This record gives sequence, structure tokens and C-alpha cells, in this order.
Amino acid sequence: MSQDEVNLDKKKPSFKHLGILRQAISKAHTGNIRYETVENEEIKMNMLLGNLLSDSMTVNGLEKFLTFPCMDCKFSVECAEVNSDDVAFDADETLNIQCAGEHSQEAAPPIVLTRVLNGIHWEDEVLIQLKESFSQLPPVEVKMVPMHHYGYNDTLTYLTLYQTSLKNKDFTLAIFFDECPSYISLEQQVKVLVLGYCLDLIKPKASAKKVQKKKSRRLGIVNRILNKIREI
Amino acid sequence: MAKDITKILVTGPFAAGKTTLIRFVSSEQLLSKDVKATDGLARFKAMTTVGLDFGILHVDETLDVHLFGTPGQARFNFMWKVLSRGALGTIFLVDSSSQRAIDEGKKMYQYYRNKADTPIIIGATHRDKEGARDLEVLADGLGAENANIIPCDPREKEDSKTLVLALLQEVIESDMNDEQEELVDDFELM
Ligand SMILES: Nc1nc2c(ncn2[C@@H]2O[C@H](COP(=O)(O)OP(=O)(O)OP(=O)(O)O)[C@@H](O)[C@H]2O)c(=O)[nH]1
Ligand SMILES: [Mg+2]
Repeated sequence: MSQDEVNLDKKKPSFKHLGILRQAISKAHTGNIRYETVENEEIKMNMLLGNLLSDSMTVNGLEKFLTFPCMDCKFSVECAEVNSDDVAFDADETLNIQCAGEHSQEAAPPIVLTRVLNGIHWEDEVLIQLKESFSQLPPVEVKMVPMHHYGYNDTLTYLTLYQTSLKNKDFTLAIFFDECPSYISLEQQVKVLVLGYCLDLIKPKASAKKVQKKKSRRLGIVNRILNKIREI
Repeated sequence: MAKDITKILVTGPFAAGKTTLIRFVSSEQLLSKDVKATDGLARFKAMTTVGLDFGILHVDETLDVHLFGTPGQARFNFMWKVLSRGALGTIFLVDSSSQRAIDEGKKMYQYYRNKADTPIIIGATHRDKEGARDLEVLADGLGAENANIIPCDPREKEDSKTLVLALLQEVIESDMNDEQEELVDDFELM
């Protein structure tokens, strides 16, 4: 395959960008998520220690981020054009949330994400794409958390997901779609999966082999830093 | 290709040398006391608002290290849990000539050990000063009998580098021992 074909393939609109958000949240990154919409618009969202800030650029960007497939997405710190008033306010807010989180021994509740997700609505074809996308994930584990702390308004569907996961030995999200009672709409089902996926509450069942692979990758990273430090 | 980002934390009581160390090992930085001296990153003001030092070491095209220096005050203790997510480990600096710093450091160190289980290395600074404690006395004072303590002066670039190298060595050793479980990459949506 030629280089061009590889790039073309990579540029297919998809929901892979949710994986970037997931990594950034679970590793408590600081910086920006930048993504490209199908209309080639470039959008940035700001993050501090894994928390999306609530400046208007981030909130508006997040709404599109969750609603539509994207062309491309990356995490960086180079281009933080933030209105400093917004951020000053936000960092304080983040601090307060962190304090609150400390008492429950949990990380800060992702209120910006849940607030925006509560109001999302998907077109039918996007909903189908998301359903198929989640259905093809390998077997997963679901973590139970007190959803009401997160400001997410559909605790029942999350609970249903959790209970279904407990009942099935090799639980996949395809099983969830099959077994979910019909009074829970497809949109509710998908929403809870987006939430769980982004917050890393839905995790792949770790097979020993993959963990091993990850370990040697980490070793590679540490060795690259060692070499760099030696030469600076 | 997407960049990997990993973190190193630099912590410890007041005036231990945290900001000094981060300055030496970063390619770009945003230091809490020193906003003007930065360029591109200066716009990311959030870090200074929460009082963190923030430096980035560009390792290569595909890898950045984010260095976070936490403020040397106990009221920021709560941040360690979130800071240590995705972190390789922590450099803990303490002014070994100041009893007040050692007492404060003990609280921080114990708190840290309870909250985060990433590798840690202790740098004993201000060794050139009168009254600098022996390393055993310091270890005892911090309640850190089993930790590696390295005497150093962060104002010397080579010393700052040595601390980072020692931490990385510690990371490698701890990886040999326990099963490190991390996110699996092929968990992508279509
Ligand atoms: N004599 C001596 N001075 C040092 C040493 N290490 C750091 N300093 C100095 O101590 C002062 C404080 O260093 P910083 O790097 O600002 O310390 P810090 O840990 O960032 O301090 P806070 O941010 O206030 O908690 C600076 O003037 C340093 O030059 C040392 O080993 N010996
Ligand atoms: Mg400082």
C-alpha cells in the first residue's frame, strides 16, 4: 500500500477521537485536545490534570466532539490559546472539585463531560455507527461508581450495564445491546457507553499477554528518557 | 504519529530546590514564580493559578515528559493522587539543613506513600550549609528508612540530571518486580 493510501485511510471520519479523550482523562493530562471535524474545522479543548475546563471554547468543542465522527484528533500542549480569565476561574473550580474528590477518595468528578453529555442528541445513522463501534470491542469489565456524584442523569441505564456485565462471563458490549430492556432507548444505551468508555469505567479485560507487551513498551519509554537526560 | 506523554513529579517542602531542578531538565517551562520568562506556554495560565511548576522535556519526535513541581505546602497534598496518575515516579526534595523542612517533609512523605504507589527517590539538598543532617538522620526524620536518598545540589545541572536518572533507574527496577497494568491500546472505536 502506498503512503497516500495509508493517509487516506487514516482520514476516514470515525469515533477514534473518543479514545484520545479517554487516555487524557485516565492519565490526568494537562494541555489541549485538538480535533478536525468532517467540515475541516479545527477545534481545541483545554484540559488541566485530566479535567476538561469549562471555558466556552472547550464546552462548545466538546459538544461537537461527542456528537459527530471526526477526521483527526491529537493531544498536545503547544497551542493553548486560552482566555486567562476563563482559566483562572476554572483552575479554582478544578481545585475545589479536587478537594471534594479527596474526601470520597475518588478522582474529581468529570462534571463538564457529564453536563455536556446529558444534552447530546445523535442522528440515527450516527447512533448506528456508535452501536456498531462499541459492539466490536473485545470483552470488557465495567466498574461501578456512584454516578450521582458525577452529575450524570441516567443512573438507571448505567446500573443496567453494570448488572449485565456481572451476569455474563465474557461480557461484550454487543451483549449489552442484545440484553438491554426495551424501555431503555438506544440513545440512552449508547450515551452510557460513551460515558463509561471515556472515563475508563469500561475497560478491556486484561489478558496477561497484553499487560506484558505494555510493560516492555514502558521500559522502552524509560530508556529513551534516560538517554535524553544523559545528553542534555 | 501521536506523541506519548509521561509525567515526572517533583515535590517536597518549601525552598527545597524543586523549581531549580525542573528548570534544568526541561526544554520549555512555565514556572509558578516566573511567568514572564516563558513564551508559548505562558498562555496556559492555569498551571500558575494552581501554583504548579510545569516543564516539558521533549525527548524525541514522539515522546514528551511533563514535569510537575507541586507547591511545597501541605494544603496541596490532595493534588498528589491526581498528579500521580500516569506518572512514572516522584523526585522528593528536602532541605536537609532545616529541621522545619524535615518535619514538614515527613508529613508530606508519609501522605505521599499512602496515596500514590509510584517509585520515589529522595534528594537531600542544601548539603553545603551548616547543620546539614547526615543521610541516616534525614531518613529517620522523614520516616523513609527504606528509600534511596541522594545528596545533591539542584543548582548544579549534573546533580539535577542525576536525580532524574536515579528515579528512572528506580522505575525500571520496580517494573521488574510488580505487574504494571496499563491501558491496552487496541480498545479503539471505529
Ligand atoms: N545553598 C544551596 N542553595 C540551594 C540548594 N538547592 C536550591 N538552593 C537555592 O534555594 C532556593 C530555593 O530553590 P527553589 O528551586 O526555588 O526551591 P523550591 O523547592 O521550588 O521552593 P518553593 O517553590 O518555594 O517550595 C533558591 O535560591 C536555590 O538557588 C542547595 O543545595 N544549596
Ligand atoms: Mg518553587
